[in-house]
Amino acid sequence: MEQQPMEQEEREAPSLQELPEQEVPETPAPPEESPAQRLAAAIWRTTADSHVTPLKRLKLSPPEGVTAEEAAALLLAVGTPEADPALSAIAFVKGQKDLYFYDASIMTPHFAELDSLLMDKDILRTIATVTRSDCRLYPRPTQFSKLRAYPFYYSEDEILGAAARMKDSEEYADIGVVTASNGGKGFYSSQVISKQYAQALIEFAEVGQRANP
Amino acid sequence: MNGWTGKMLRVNLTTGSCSSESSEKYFDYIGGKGMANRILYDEVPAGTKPLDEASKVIFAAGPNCGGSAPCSSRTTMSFLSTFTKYNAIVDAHMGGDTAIMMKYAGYDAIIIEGKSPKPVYVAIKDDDVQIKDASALWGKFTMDTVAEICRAEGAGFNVVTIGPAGENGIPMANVLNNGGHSGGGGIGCILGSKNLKALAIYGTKAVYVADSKKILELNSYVINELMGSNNNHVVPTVAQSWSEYENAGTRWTGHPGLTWGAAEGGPIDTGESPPGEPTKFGYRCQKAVFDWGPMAEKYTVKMTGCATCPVRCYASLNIPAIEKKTGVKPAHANTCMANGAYAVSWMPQMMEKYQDFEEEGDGQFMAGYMACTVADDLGLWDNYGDLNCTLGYFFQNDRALLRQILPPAEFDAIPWDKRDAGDPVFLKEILEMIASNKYEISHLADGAYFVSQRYHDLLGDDYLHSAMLGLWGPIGGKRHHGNECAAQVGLLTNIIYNRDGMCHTIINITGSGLPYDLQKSIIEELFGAGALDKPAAYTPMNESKAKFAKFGVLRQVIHDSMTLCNWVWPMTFSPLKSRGYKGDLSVEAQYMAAVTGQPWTEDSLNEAAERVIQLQRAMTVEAVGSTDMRNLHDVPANYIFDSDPDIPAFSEGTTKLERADWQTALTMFYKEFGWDETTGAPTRASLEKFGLKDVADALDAKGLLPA
Repeated sequence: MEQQPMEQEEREAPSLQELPEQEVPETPAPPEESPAQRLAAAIWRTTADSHVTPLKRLKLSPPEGVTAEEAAALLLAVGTPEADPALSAIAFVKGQKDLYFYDASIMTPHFAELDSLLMDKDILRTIATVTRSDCRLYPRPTQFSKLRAYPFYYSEDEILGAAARMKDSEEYADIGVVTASNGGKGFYSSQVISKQYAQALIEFAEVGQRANP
Repeated sequence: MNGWTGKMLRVNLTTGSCSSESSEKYFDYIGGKGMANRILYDEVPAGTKPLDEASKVIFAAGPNCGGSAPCSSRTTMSFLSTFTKYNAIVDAHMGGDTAIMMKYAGYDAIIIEGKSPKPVYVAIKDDDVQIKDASALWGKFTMDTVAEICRAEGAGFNVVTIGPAGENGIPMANVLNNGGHSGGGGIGCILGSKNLKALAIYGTKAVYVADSKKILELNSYVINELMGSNNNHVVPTVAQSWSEYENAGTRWTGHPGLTWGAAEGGPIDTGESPPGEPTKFGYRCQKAVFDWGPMAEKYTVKMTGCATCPVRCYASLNIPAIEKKTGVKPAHANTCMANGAYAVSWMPQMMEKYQDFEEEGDGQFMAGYMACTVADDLGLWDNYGDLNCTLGYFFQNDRALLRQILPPAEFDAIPWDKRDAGDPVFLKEILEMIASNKYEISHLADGAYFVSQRYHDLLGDDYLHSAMLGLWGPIGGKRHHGNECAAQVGLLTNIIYNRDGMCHTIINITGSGLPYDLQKSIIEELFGAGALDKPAAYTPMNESKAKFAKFGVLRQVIHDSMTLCNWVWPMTFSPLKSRGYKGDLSVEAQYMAAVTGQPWTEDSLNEAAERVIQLQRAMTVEAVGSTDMRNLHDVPANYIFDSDPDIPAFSEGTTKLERADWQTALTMFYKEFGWDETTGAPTRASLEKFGLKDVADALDAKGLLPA
């Protein structure tokens, strides 16, 4: 805070009558936010909290001043030439159960996809999608420890249960499990890497890397 | 003078004299490692043994230390190895504030020579240097020594001290400064032999720089655009909203939900720490959890680190239960391998079960943390886990080997009942026995090569070649980011040293967390096609790999010499997608130019670094006493070729190498340095190219130049 000189503080305050009449400038009212701007702001807030926003939620509980119909129309135009410019930073992921919107200026498509998978609450699809991506991209198995941590937070029982269910599913026939010598486990996709390679990679991730810090 | 102070301090413990002299004649060697190695070459005759009175220890820092660049306060110490074959030159590195205090006191280097007749420590306050009686400190633990000297000299002093292991002549003894930043290589043993307990340094002078504005610009550039976390890992361990990638193996461990659990005022969430937000930088590396696992979270008080380092890889923990149960200090910290050695990897070899402390399953973590604290307090160096692997080797098969090397009374005196009960005090007592040097078991800390020699009738030749020991080669150096990290490239960066290859240039790349194809495209742009193999899917040697390996070595020399932390530098990659994740390898030269005011370039810095390596190689040839480095020095351990017997080399699923290909790798690597391609020894031409004619002449006179 700026310090005032002492003598100024000690001066007697003038009475109200002594004050000259001043013209109070008219403060222009802030321009009213458009529904698109209100939607963009709402999506930004959720994105800043590291989450995507489901379309259903925005329709059921749109931001103040936006109707459900307006929200739906504006959001369904995102990504098309007709999209409102106020929503230019907004992108979406098409999940199994919904469309999930996020502000692409502060969230990557990768994280948005992960969060949308979690929102869909389909653990088998989530694990298979992450596993195939990990094997293709890095390459590496998807360690169970990764799935126990943020942002997945699956329990060991949930992961083991998913592994058992995937064994019997044609859709996930490529997803297998490899185990390191310390007991640490990981999923791999046989569509992408061989079991022998997955075995070597899980051993290094669980044991070799710790032995060579 | 900018960057360098232009002075070095000479402390002669035999005569008690302390004097300063010009350091300018060593500027061609940059500083730090380069300067220290050249001083050692000039002043310690070939053939000197590490504990001889003629042996010296040189502490040194480079011109960049004190200039404020991120991670510019590591100390290099050069001396003769106490624990590897040939007792050749090694350098050790230490975090903390020693280097910056030395620079502030006005010295680029401190030369320790001679032997004191009684225990002493050296107190340095700028120009006031005094050798003081340390009789009352002899026998004390490292942390207590720091506290006592600071009480006597002042709280601001940086104290580098040996512990009882060094005093007692244990070859694998280290020094620690301010209780937790350690430097190994056997330096503690040498200082102990000189009766030097500690250095205490406090400086009040300035380190002048030529272009302070440019340095501040570079600092901002590096922190905001280039630097990730410890080891310059540019990808977080778990998915974060701003990141395209995640990789569980990186040291960017901070994330929402992970805390400093014992922080003053309550747990602090490490949260998201995106690039370009420097105020959150210090939360990126929750190193306690990286080193010790999830159990460590709730005991983490804070992350701290060296002067000028934004990374903060030094985890301060406070575990009162350890003191209550074992009497060992509850609060401790270390930056690196002392943690790894006593963490998960090697602990099962030490004890088969562990008593729980406060919750189910916490026994191994607590015992490991306690053992790390004990070892650091004793000044007992693990040598990248060598000590722990050696103990594990001798504990195998119900301690059959141990029974054969120890006198029965000594074997029976070891508290096996505590081990059987899972009582961690077993570890404390056995480490104390080793550090005392009163027992046969103390020889297990002689270093793997000397252990092999002492018990050769029992161990045969297999010991030094075993996967359990994990050496890069039978001279006794531990493999440290070798073939398991980057095929031939990694192993080539190991064999250049006379200890574990502490070269982090390459692991900082392969461990960055970025997907392989992205790493490959950036590395191939720099070094050519085929430079970087896919993890555990290697290919035969090629010239790009040789260039990549040479880069790895030279950057390490640059960092250890100028000074920058090779545990973070170089900035090969960036965490920013907008840069295509490409870093900037010109930054070191830019710092050198801004600090010194001299026209340093990447090329001139590489040239100076190569001068340092040429000299180091020449000194190694002198120590080996032969030019045949290929067959006497650069020999990998057998397990590097023989692991995974069912999987052929150069196929998916193995990191092993192939013997004939290794010979090709050596030839290509030698060629990169201009060495004789048959023997691997420096030639007159390779030495004279870097102004080392005197070195070439000296080798020639001894018949140690290749024909």
